[in-house]
Amino acid sequence: MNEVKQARNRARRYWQIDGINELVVGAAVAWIGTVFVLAGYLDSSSLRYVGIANMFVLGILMPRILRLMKDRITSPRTGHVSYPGQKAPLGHRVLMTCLGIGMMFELQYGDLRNLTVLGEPIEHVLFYALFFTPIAVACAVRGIQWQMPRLLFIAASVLIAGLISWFGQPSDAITLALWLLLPGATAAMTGTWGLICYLKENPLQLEEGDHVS
Amino acid sequence: MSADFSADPNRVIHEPARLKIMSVLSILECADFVYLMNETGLTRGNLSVQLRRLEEAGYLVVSKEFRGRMPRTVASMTDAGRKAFKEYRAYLKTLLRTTAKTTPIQDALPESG
Repeated sequence: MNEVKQARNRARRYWQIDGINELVVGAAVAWIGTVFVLAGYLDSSSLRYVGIANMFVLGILMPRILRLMKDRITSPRTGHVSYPGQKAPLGHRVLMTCLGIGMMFELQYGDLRNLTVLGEPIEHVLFYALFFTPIAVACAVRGIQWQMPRLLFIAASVLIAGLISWFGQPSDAITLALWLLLPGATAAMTGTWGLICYLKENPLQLEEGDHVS
Repeated sequence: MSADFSADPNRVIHEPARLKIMSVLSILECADFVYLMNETGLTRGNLSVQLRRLEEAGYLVVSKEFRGRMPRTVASMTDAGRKAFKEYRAYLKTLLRTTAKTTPIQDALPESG
């Protein structure tokens, strides 16, 4: 790996090293999972709507919470950095969202739902191929690239959740619990551990002439 | 292309501390004071002085902002800074390439043992 890539990876690592991303995203996913699991067990449609509403609210709030925590915790300790390509272009994000929504509609109402692959319904196969595998691979690759073994735990939890629900075919409520609660809780725990280590290793560094009141 | 040995390097960039700052910022969009301090290993005072020098030369934009009650000094490279850094790199490359042909690094190293 050349020096430029190494330096950029260090900059990327700065965004993950504190564990805040994992903690916030993991906690949100685990929370949504809990609501859906409760809705499944209690057979409550209103709780399902609460879960969906939570997804939207957290989707809007999460970036703000993350920014606030980064500003308060990370910036005074290891600084703030942005690197080229940090934010995916708006066009890409819109395209991915449209593709995701389109696929959900197609699988729900279109002709694709009658197809099977290796005896499994197409939506089942697509879901595992497009959801679990990329997340697990991305976590594992980044864990190795940024020398952050805790990301490997998240990758493993995502894979385990996918494999158990694929082979075990548990009830809907348990499946949801596996999909959301297991990776979410794992991420929240590794994030908390990461944050504790980060706070221990990185004391507050003030800029010249700054005072803490 | 042969090196022009009479040409001077860009003195603003050539200073080691400023070269470190420029090298870090050349591959980033922006970085704050604390990040630059950690990455370059410079002291607060030195970093502050060198940032000002680079800003005066028009190579960096340094802005001070507040996040809550915490101040944050953010530096990013200007187009002029990127151009100057690119020219500086080209100058060094040519110089080193020319000298490497006549004095290979292995020959220049003292013999061990």
